[in-house]
Amino acid sequence: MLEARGATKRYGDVVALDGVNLKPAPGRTTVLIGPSGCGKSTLLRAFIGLVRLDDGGIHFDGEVLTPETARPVRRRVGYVIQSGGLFPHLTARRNVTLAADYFHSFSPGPRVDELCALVRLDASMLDRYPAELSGGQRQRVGLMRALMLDPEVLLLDEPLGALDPLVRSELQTDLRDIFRQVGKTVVMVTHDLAEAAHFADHLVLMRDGKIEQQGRLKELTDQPASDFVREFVTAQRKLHSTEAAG
Amino acid sequence: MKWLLLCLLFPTALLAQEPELVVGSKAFNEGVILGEIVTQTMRESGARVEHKSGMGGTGVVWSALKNGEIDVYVEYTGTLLGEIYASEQDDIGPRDLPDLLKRDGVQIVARLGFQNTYAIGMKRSLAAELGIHTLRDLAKFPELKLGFSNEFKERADGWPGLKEAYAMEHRDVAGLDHSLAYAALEDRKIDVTDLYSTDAEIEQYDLVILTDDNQFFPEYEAVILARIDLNERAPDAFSALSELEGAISEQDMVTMNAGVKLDKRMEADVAQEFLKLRREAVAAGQKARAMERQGRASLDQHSKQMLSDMARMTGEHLVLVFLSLFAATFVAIPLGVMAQRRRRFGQWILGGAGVLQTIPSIAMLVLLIPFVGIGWGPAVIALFLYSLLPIIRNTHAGLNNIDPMLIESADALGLPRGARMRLIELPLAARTILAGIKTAAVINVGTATLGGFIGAGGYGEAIFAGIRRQDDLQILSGAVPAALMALALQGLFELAERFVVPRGLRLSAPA
Repeated sequence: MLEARGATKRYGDVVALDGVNLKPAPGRTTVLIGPSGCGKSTLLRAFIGLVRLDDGGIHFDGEVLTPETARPVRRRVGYVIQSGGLFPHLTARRNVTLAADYFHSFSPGPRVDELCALVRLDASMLDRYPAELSGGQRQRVGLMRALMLDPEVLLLDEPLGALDPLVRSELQTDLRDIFRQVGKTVVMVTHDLAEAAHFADHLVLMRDGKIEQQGRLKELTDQPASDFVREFVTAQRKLHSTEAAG
Repeated sequence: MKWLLLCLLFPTALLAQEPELVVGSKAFNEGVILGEIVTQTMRESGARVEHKSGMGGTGVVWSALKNGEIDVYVEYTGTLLGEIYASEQDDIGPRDLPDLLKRDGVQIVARLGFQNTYAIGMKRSLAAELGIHTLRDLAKFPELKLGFSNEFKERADGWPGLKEAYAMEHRDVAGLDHSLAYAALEDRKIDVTDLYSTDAEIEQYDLVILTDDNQFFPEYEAVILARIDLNERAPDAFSALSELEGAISEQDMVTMNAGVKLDKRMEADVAQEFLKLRREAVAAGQKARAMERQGRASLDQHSKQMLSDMARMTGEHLVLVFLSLFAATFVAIPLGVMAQRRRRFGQWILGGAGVLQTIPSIAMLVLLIPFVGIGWGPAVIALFLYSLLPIIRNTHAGLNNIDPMLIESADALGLPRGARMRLIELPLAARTILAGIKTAAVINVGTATLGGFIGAGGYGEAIFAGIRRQDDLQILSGAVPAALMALALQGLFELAERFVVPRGLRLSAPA
């Protein structure tokens, strides 16, 4: 359904995406991982038509996505960014219902209650403004907004990046449950291998705009395709064991 | 096109039927000034008038009038009796003049109200100190030093006659050149001198003329002489002239002479200014009389008048400020949006508005006059133009400063551009845009006072009238309310922020 074919994007001399081919499995969670500047976020943004590719394309249900043709597709794709990207001038509820109200698709009331239960957000929080919510609450509202139009695909760019560890681990658990419940195609970006392992059905390790290796975590650790993969995996593991020891 | 031509030609055609009148004047400052006053007065009544200024001495101008070469000129009764009709029998007086003149086909249209005769004057300060107002008073101070022009000192109708008429006993009487007399007065070498009652120097050296109680000096009353048939040939011009009866005091004439002689101004300008002031004074007098009739111009009524003036000016000022501000807001916000969307175009917009801002307000008003005339129209246009920049710039900046993540979030929701602008971008920029409108409003209140310069009303009316009359209180009566209005507007906009800026933006930013 969603597929990148030879997706290429250059910012001046920097190649952000270098002929990437990727077809996230429907109904499963694909996690893009890699060091900063490897192109994982660019790929994610390309999936929703926020990036104008220099070469290749993103295909959604057989249609090529461009910033011009992306609008109807975007209503079928939910998108969550690091800090939630909530509009500060609107209440949480209005943030969630904005698109539904604008497109008059349906009466949003019941759907909002449903989503509140799903993301485990107290409904009384919905009348608050983003500035009155905690980071975790904002992220839950962001997720509700992304799920409001019941999209087929859910894209998340470092959704837990800005949270403190306690909230983060709580939300990690909740998010995985949510993904399993909704059964949507999920593509998520993170730089943290442990987090990736927590969510991923399928791991995609990127480097310099290319996919270095993809598969299950076990494949990456046991049969690294290159020294880079081995180093990345080892370094991340060391980091976590040090964290655990400390 | 035809109509336009007709409209242009019609008044000219009317004027062409009007008799052409010629005014003459004698060749000295006062004569030319009076000639101008007569000329301009008749022109105002609609007549086409030519002024042959400074034709020569009495003889030349008189005979020109007698022959009908000129229609009007200003003469002095003393000259008529003493020079023109000097050959008549001895006992003629001013009463006989109308009949004498009639024989020559001439009439007196109006007595202007002042005399230019021999007079005795002294420093105002000294006169006040000694309590001298009249020549009789002067006789009581024989110790004062007198200094007369040599001619006056010798002539029978000069000092010798004066001495006898008032029984003066002054012994210190010097003869000196007239031009030195003023300096001598200044240095207190002399206390009293002879002069002409409308000399420019009376004002310059702050002198007073002592009243001639015994009417020793001959009357030299200024009168407008005209051809006897003027009232038939140009009735409007004639009645305009007759309204100058008593219009010019000695003090007025001294001031006008000083304007020409000392300030080197043109006679026509001095005359024009005098007539303008007179019209204002007449209008003010009529207004005052009307108020008096209404029921005594009591202090109460005066303050009521002031209050209603203040209310009117406040209303006019508010209209100037808000009309321009509303118009500017409707134009500037879309321009600011366009400037933000298209960078190249935006530079032009911001640059253009910036250039408008650098034009000094007075210059802007004057530049607009040829296109839209005077009054509140050009004032509103100027204020509108000045309001553009702060609003455009703040709209542009407000939109530019929105977190790109929020724009991306809006795009990711699939909102079209218009919806994104309306639902997300404009509300997020609201605070900055409102600040721009507030800036424009406060500046407008100040700039609108310049409307007084071009008759646009508002507080500027009081300020400019105050400057003209050197009346500090009146200046303040415009400046203080303007300052208060600016403060009030500032407060009003801060209040408006509560309604315009979404509550979510007024909360402290997320940690």
